[in-house]
Amino acid sequence: MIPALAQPTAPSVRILLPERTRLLQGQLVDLVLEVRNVRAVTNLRVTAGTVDLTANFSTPAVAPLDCDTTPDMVTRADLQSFNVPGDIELNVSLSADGTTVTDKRTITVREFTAANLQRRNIVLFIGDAMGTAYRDAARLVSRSIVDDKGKNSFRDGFFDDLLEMDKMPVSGMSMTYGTDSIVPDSANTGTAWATGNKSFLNAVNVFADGNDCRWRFTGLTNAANEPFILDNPRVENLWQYLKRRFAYRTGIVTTAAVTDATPAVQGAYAGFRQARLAIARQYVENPMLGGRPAFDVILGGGADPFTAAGRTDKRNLIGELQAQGYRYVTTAAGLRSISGGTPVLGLFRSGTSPAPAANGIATATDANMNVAYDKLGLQRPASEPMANLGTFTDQPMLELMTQKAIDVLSTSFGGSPFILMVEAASIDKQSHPNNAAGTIWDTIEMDKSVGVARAWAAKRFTRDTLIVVTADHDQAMSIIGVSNSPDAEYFNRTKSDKVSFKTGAGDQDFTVYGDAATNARAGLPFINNSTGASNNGGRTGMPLSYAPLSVATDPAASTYSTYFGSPAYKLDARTGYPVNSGDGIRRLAVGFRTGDHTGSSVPVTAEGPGAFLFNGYMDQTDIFFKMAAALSTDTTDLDKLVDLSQSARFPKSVGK
Amino acid sequence: MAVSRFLFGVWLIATPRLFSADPDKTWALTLDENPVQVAKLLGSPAQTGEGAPGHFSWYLQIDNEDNHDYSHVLLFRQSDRKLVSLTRNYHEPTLVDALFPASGTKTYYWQNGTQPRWPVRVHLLKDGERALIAMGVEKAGQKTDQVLLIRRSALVSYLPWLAEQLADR
Repeated sequence: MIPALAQPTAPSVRILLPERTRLLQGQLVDLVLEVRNVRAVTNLRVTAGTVDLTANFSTPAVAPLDCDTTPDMVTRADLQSFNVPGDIELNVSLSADGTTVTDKRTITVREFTAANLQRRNIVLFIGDAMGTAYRDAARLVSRSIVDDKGKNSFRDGFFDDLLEMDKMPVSGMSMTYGTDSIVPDSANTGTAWATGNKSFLNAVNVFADGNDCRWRFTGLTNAANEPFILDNPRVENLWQYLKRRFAYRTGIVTTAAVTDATPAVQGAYAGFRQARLAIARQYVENPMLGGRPAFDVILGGGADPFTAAGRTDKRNLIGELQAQGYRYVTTAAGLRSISGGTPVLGLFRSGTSPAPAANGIATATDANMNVAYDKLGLQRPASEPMANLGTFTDQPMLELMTQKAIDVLSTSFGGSPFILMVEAASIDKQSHPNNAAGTIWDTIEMDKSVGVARAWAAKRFTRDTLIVVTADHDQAMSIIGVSNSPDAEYFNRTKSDKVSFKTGAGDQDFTVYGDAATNARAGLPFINNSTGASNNGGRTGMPLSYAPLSVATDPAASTYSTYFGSPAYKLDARTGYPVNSGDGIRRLAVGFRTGDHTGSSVPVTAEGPGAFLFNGYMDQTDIFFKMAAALSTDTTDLDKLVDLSQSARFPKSVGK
Repeated sequence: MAVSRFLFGVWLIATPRLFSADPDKTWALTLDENPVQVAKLLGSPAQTGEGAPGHFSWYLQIDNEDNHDYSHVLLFRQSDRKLVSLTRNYHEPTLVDALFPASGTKTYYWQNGTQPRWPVRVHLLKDGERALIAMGVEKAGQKTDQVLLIRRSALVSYLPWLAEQLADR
């Protein structure tokens, strides 16, 4: 539970910065002071160390806070920065109706100067929800391939070839807790790696303030409250910081709508992630860049908020970017034709009839890109929705989007370095409804994209590109075993059974489909053999049509999942992806405990200059500072250490 | 309060078409409920929050295709644990005319500078203590994605511009 704001009657002043605020030298942040229980503010004095900031603050103005009737005021100094590294004490003192009130914060400022700039590139991969089990599932499916001679690439517990992410030499773990929840979302976790600071659920690069009660605690996220959604104190993200200070080229690639939370934390500032119209506008007129566009490359879905029809202000943001020289593509064929370094906007999916939402801050419909499984034309298992690409039949795979983004960003007059975020968004979006096939193949698509970046970086004349792969948060899938459900059962949509439990705490009703042995969905009894201690009845809770005919001693004879045996898939040589059907297939069996995120830590893997910084357990905000350190510090000694650890002198993992 | 509830119940009986026509169980709530009663009707919240002083919030995700949106946000008072407001966010634009009979429903507008004015349809429930508000719609036949049921006394805190306009009514 979020601690309730104190309700004293005496005047008070509060600096709207978290207790543990950390910033880079020169990183922009809004300094906002809320003064409660006051009618007049005088004698304001604000200092940061020895620097007097008072003149930067606005005239204190009446501002209703906390949705109560007590008189309050606010004063703010936007887009401030601290240019001396070290611990800086920010002190505030003012007279509130004649009473002196004070507040202070200690801000840690890390050094980052032009003199230290290493002119390196960064590619940050975010597998949305890609916790440990999701990486494992992608490995077990895509690296358990049976060739024409019947040889499985996964034998005796070892893989012939590991995932691209597995081959990165440095790994660590990232803790993902937010300020108000140990189970975070993509917005506040994105804020953590993008700005180096934590925030509340749904926040995009901003801190909480006293009028959040108007919308955050009532759900009144609409046009009338949009001013209160957009007035929260902002903290600059690394993409704008590098472009503004060092002329970096910047990009976002995602399979979600490009205004979704994970891409948004690289380019916008808002208290609520669903303020999509404002987010899209900030991509074109970024507040940290004096109104210049945030990115040189934007690739993904979700065209609606960029169209006149989809916006309340009727601006054609696509046209505005084109007028500034951006190339605009809408298909994979169009993306393939792109060459050279001119900025690119690629929006590969939209709603059928763009229109503003009635709430006035988003669009009525919008569209993420279709998932890898559907783009590949694979048949969905019985419990998962059929593919529906609509008229968008030529959507690029994430590997192509990643390759083209890197090609464009790395081709610039003057050779500016770049920073790029690549997101596989539907690992999460498929995991919420427990669509195992959808989520696993999206993770495989993610890994192939990592391979594209690794291959590009390996060919560079100098080692100048840091690649980091992590997740924003974990989700609830786990690895259960394997299943040899035949295709006839796995894909059979005509066969289903309803299961109903009535208890004093409420009813549970769910439907079991033919792929149940491969996907123990949240709420269903587990289906493997050792379920005696399970709190939901184990196999005895399954409907009769799915009950075992006999206890199988040979796993090959069983149509249920089991701990025993190994997965076995065939590879489609044309696409390079495993297929999910065929004789002899033995599918990975997974289970979901919930349909939502979890608070578990997530893996981080890194390769390139500065990679060793990502070793060990870290907070998610450290990812921001470690990326910054890789760009602003001579990491030669660390890089040599990593090279040494990978040399023949020391043990090497099988398949790496 | 008891008289208001009685009158509200009479009104419900007198106009069963209004609520029984809407299969959404949400609109069986009258804001006289406590959390236990709400949970029995709608289920447990996905998240809770204690943000506004003296209040706590519930966030539900029911039949929500996008799990990053809340289908219901409920604001309760700490003092008596009764509902102050209920916001229903529809995943798809939805026709809610059945909740807004022509008689007793009026349109109001929010205006901010040069922005296009933004409409809401308001239906004051019979005892006048409750306001049912469809966001972003000007007239019958238009779909909305957000409907609010709120105590009239709370409007001054959460929608002060509307409270001011309603005071003239």
